[in-house]
Amino acid sequence: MTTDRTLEAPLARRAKLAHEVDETGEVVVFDETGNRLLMLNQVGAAVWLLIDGQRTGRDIAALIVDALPGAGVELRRVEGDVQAFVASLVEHGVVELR
Amino acid sequence: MAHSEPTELSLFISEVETRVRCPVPDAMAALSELWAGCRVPIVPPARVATIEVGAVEGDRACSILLDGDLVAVAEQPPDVLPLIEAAIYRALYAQRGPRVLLHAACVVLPGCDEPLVLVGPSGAGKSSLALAALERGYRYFTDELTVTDGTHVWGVPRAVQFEPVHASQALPARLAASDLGLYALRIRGTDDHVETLGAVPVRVPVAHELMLQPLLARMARVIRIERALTTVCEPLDSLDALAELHEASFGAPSLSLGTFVGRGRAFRLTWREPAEGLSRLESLISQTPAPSIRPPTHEPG
Repeated sequence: MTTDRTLEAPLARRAKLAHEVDETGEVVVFDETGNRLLMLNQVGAAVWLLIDGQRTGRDIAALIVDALPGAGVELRRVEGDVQAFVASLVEHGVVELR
Repeated sequence: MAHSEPTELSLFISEVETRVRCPVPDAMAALSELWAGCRVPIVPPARVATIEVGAVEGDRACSILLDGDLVAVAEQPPDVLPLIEAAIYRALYAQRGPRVLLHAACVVLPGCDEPLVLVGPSGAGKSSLALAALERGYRYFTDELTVTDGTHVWGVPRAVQFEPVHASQALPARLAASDLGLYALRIRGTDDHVETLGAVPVRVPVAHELMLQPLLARMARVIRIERALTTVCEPLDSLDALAELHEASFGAPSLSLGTFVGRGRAFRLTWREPAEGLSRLESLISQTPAPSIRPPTHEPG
């Protein structure tokens, strides 16, 4: 199922260029195929920056939870958010599941 | 075509030291003046390109060679200068490395190191606004070619030039003081009818007006410009600013331009008269926080 693969498969970036906006922490990904720019918010930017060709969606969710100690963020909720976000990036063609 | 002993000229076009050798005195004199801002390097040269102009078939034509390869033939004297310049651009575009060339003017606000990158389609007024900026005390990077490595920004400070005008066309009043004598252009039509256009008005920036060191891209503001019947200046969001930079780049950008954008750092300017447009822009800029020289630290959240 797509949901399982999105969390279990290693993720890789297909888009070659991303603009990291220092002042706001946002990332703007350039989708060369579609000739468009996709703006990611801070959480989306964090996910994007953690995609390295080896980490899975589940790995990334765990790293995000580890970065927020004491914030009371539930791993399952973060996994759900990451899964939905990664699915969106896959649909836009800027990330692929390996 | 009148020839003499070849003379040589070195120009620093971004990171390309371009050595021109040419036996046509008029072309070299004009080249030297139009590109006077490029006589000293703004960034360290990374390679050398050679442009050699030589006689072909006696004195009826000139060959233009770039690094030994024939790239053009000038059949009439007025063609030599524009063809040398075409070779200069060709050498620049061939330069490899993590750089983005932008079809953009870049001028620097008086009294501070904040570059304004003016982007917009041909005819939007990059040269007109650059000229008006010089007259208001801005320093000049370029009216045409802005270069960045993602961290720094600089320009190719050729003279401020405008579109060729037909001999019967009247110049706008604001260009009346520009030097018309430096540049004459001939265009060869499709049926071999040669149409001589009027001179291209130019303004050669003087030494104290030139910006001869790179500035931080983090201090830049992006201005999307457009000619209109009314003058309006308003903020532009980061995504739109990045889209404009993409549109302005020669080829898809190869590196992140994120340092150019941020809160309050991009504007859209529609202008009717250049001085009025710059006044409106300055007023809005003064109401926004100055860009920060240091990158912010982000807390996770």
